[in-house]
Amino acid sequence: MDKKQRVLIVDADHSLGLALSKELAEAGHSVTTHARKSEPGIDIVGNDIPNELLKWDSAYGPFERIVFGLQDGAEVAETPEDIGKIQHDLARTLGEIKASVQMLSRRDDGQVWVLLQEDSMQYYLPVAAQPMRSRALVGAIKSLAKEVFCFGVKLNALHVQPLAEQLDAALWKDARTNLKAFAIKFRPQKSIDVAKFLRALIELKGIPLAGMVLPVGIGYPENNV
Amino acid sequence: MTSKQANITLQPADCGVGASAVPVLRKTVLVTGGTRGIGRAIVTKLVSDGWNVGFTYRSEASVADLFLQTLREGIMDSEQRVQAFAVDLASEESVRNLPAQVETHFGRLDALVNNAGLTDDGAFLTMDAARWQRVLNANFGGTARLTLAALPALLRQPDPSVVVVASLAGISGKEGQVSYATSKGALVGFTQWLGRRYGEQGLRVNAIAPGFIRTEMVNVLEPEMYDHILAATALKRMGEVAEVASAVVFLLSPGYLQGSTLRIDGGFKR
Repeated sequence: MDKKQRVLIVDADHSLGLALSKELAEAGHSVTTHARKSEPGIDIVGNDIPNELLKWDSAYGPFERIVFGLQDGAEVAETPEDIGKIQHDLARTLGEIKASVQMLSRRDDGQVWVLLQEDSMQYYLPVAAQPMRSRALVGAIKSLAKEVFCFGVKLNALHVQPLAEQLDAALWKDARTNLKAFAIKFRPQKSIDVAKFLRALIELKGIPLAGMVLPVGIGYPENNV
Repeated sequence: MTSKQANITLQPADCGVGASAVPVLRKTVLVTGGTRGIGRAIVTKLVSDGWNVGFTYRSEASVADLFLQTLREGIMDSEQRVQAFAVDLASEESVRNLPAQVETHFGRLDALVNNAGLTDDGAFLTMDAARWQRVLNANFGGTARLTLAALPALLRQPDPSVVVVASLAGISGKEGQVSYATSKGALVGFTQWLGRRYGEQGLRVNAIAPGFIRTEMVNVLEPEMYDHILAATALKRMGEVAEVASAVVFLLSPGYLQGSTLRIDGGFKR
């Protein structure tokens, strides 16, 4: 590890966000956790991230790493109102990523990570995820990363398959049973294991990744284009 | 009236030129953004392949009228075969009413080609939020809302199909096109979701991701601006709008493709 990092985790109120926070803190990094609403153990609360970011940076930073956590809740596109919500969520997320990148571009060797939910496991598990948000942000990240690389910011994503903690153990067991021949290979990954992987990336200086979407999982789902 | 009720031969891919002993009830497709570029080529190809075609345009009525006249030349029952509809996909009310207008005109709606879209290029870090929200609303919001509005009509038909025109930018990313790539990526996801949600009911849903295609917009560019793209394309040339149209026709034909996004990019970086 080159040095201790100051990390902001946006939307940390998820099993992976909390595991990452713990993992980073135990490794000696400075971690600030954010959520949209008050939660035990969360440092800062707020919805207007683009306007609050510099304030948080003054109070807890300056941050060198910003992680956008997984978000719970299924996207549905059954009605025009659903479409409006997805659109609103995308516009808001774009604004938040933009503000984060702008802030880190004033520093050397910034990293922004966006965690996206892989959704093809839905065929076996009732995981709350749909591909609209993740596919949209893949397009956004691959594009914006090309624009901001020259400012010293590496913007990347992890495309994360469902985590053990996201579903009851019984549901995982049912999925393994239903898959029969594949059952032996079908084991959920734990949040802490993904957190350790991301911590290792966060600790790297001059990471050779920009505009990349890294698949994280056991390899069973296949949601490629 | 459906094909099952009337026992009338469906001819989705037959020009229907000349007399037929059996009455022909053609399949109907609605193409958004049909007066220019890729959309115009799709409309032309589908009319020539025997579909009833409704196409939309946003504001250029004179261009749409002229195109309509051209399409109708030499076609029997041309007013029943091809029609233009003025629609702004950003208007929820227009979008909501459009499928009913198409059904009223043609008697049915079998397929939807979501082609209309806009771009607003520029450095994202200095771009005003209103600009990227407009792109998201038109490309993703308008397309998704129209598709939902068309579902009841589509699902009444025996082999309904939706094709979404996404973009290579939505898959591979493109600097200067963050909002466009976001909206097209969302459409790739929407295609997967819709195909999963309605596949069991017989709706086929797929997308295409055109790469660098020769359109009116490209024709005004200097070669220095796109030489590097052609150099990274296995076929070493731009794609033609007719080639994109052929892919759309392929995806509209019955098959086992579902939730897929077909790259029409000449082997870009492959």
